[in-house]
Amino acid sequence: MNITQVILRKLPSSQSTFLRINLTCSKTIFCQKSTNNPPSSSSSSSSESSSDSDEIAQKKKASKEQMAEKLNNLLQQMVSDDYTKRLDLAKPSNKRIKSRKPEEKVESEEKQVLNAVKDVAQSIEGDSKKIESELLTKLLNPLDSERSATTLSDIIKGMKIEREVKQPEVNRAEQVRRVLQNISTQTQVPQKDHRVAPREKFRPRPVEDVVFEKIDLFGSESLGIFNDNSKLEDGPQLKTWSELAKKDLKLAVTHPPANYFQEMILWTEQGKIWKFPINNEIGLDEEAKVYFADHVFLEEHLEPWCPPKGPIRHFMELVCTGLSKNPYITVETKKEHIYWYRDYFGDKETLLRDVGAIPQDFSMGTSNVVDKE
Amino acid sequence: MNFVKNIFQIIPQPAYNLQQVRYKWANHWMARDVKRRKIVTELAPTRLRINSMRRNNILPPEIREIADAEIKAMPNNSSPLQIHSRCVITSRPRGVVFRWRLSRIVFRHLADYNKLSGVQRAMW
Repeated sequence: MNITQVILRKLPSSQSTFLRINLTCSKTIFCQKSTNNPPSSSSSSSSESSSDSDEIAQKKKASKEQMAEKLNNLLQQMVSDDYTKRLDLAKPSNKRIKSRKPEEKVESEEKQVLNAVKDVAQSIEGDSKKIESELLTKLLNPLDSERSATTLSDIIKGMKIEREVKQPEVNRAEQVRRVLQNISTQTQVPQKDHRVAPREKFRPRPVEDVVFEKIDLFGSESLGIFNDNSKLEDGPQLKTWSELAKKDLKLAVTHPPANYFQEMILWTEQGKIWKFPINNEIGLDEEAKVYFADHVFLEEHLEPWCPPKGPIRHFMELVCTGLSKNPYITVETKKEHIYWYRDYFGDKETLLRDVGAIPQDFSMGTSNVVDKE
Repeated sequence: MNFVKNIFQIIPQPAYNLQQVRYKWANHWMARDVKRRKIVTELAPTRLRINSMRRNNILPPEIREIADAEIKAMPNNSSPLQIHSRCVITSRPRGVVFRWRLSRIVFRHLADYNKLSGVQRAMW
């Protein structure tokens, strides 16, 4: 323990405190050990045999030695750490500190000068600030002092500086506002960093260098190269482009409907709503020209080619009945159906005659008959 | 434009397409259906006439046999049964609202935003 105390004295204060704490810890541990082993304590040891007491003494010695070893180790570590710290190893010379030192000195000198000037000014009676500024000007730039030492502007400059110093006395509310602004700006900055850096805005170059000359295209005589207008052709026509241009032109010319009635008129013209008076057959322009009888009586189209009786006649009459009842197709399509059958049966005339579907003395004569269309 | 055409005549066309073929159909099932519809619209009247000859007992059986053969010779896709109603926007084959040719989902979406003329949401 004596060694430790010696070292403690040698060590700097912070390390010594650390060591003391460690020592106290070790002491407590030691005490705990003693309490944990009640037979080793003095009260119980007297009743037991001498051999036991010897053993206990040896154990105590061993434990003490161990503790001492631990302490020594700890101290050695500390000391070694300290030595390594103090060892002069090759390190890059710290240029900052060297460079800083003269600046600090200069500042201090300036401050000293300033303080001295202040003191002098205050000691002399009269306007202390004015005197101060004069002194400073004389000291700092002695050459110019003759010219503008006592001008009002210099005095005012000095005054201004003083005022600016005084200004920071503001309301609490403003201070809080400033702080809040600072915080907001500080918080905004990292957000911007996450995004992609904004591109530099395009700034047109100053036009000072460019010299403008007026060129008169149509004033002078023509060269006579492009005389023949017929040979001149347009470039490739852009269809979509021209369509869009037309649309734009139309939109520019036409006005939107001023009120709802005009809008309704527009819709009626576009065929979006019913026209008045109400007509169920609205939009049936082509079909209105065809007479009703043309739709219904279709057998007149059979007369030129169809046999007067037999299965073909029967079939074709049924076809005509079906077509006459169909309101969805035009008369033209109905005729097409009939003429198709005429051509079909005409192709198979010989076969039909052999089968007996057509009478022997009847000829369909499809080749001779010309369509009435 | 003539210049461009001439260039395309001069340059030999590759066997494969340089650019992916694009059409206005939603997917290939829709394109297939469109193909069928084209064939059907082309051949539907002929099929109707021949079928009406086949499906009666008035005409002699020889003619009906010929008609049978002719129908068999026609392409399968010319049958109107092959076409299937699909949504014209999403090409969904099921739940098509027939009158508008839209799937129920698209129909409901458009109706909700008042885009279907004459369709009003139920309110009571």
